[in-house]
Amino acid sequence: MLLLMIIAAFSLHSLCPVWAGEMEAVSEISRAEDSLKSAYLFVLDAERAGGDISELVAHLNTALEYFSEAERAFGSGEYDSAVLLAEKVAEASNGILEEAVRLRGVAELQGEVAFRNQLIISFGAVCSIVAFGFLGWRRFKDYYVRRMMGLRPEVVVDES
Amino acid sequence: MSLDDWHLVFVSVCLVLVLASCAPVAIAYLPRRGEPFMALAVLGEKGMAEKYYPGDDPSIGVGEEVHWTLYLYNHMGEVRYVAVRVKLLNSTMSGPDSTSSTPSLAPVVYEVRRVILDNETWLYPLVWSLLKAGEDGELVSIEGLMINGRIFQTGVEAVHGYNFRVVIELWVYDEASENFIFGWMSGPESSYAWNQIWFNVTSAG
Repeated sequence: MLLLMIIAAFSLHSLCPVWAGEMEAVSEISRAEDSLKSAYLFVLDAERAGGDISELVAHLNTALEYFSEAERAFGSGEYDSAVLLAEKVAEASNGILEEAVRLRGVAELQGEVAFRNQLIISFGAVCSIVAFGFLGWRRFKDYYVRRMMGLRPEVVVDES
Repeated sequence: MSLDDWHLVFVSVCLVLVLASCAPVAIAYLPRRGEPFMALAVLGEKGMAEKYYPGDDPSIGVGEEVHWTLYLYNHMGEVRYVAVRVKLLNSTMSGPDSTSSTPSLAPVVYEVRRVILDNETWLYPLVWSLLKAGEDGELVSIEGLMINGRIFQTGVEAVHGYNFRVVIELWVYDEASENFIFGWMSGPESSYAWNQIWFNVTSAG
């Protein structure tokens, strides 16, 4: 009985590092996947705010390639390598997320300024059109009336 | 023309100019037109819709490389995070069903993910081969596949090795459910994109 317990304890001791490595890899890959999803959602927000996200998307795709490598490493039992790659993915995703937040802020500000400028320009244009239209009409009307007053009536003789 | 006619012309021209100057502001509030969609296609060896099998023969032997290109196009109006899932089926296993909105229930053999910009086309080379096939009486089973240099275990079998199929499904990340869903939402409706290519296995290795 004692011998069996010793053997069992020894087996568990030798297997534990493998389990721990696998569990750590599973946890890191899951964390990396969540980071990728969050980064994507922030990039989407930045795009909706009007930002140019092409560079961020390129970085996201690079992170996805690392993620795929991490999964491959995990599948082939290279847990240490999987953990390292997953950490790299999480780090890259967090960087992308921060950049996306910054870009969204800038894009929103630029959008507001552009909209305000457009509003001012449109308002100015409308005022100018109304003012010049009114003045133009007054001048044209005077010209038209003067021209009409200057006309001499022509007498037409009916010879029938 | 009388003065009244000229007055009408003046007012009309001014009105058109006022509307034109307000257009840029109004456009910002107009909804986006056009139906959003995504497209998925599988292209053959030379990136065209032909030569899907080595030597144009759908009977594939163990070790023979099959060269395909996945074609993906995003016209959703904004960036999309997608997953292309590759599954191996025989003729009796249920494939994807767009009517009932269900993907194939077969396990995913290979998956590739990508973030695609609006209006972007993405081409992805997919090179696969049968790594190991086994025979048990009339049944031929595919026991191993190599896809883009990665090895995958499978256990799909077919009578005499006929009518295997590779099913390729497009899954799109859904913000609401925070998960990948089969297809995508286009307003209240769901749309799907999937392909399948049939092949036979010639000899067990």
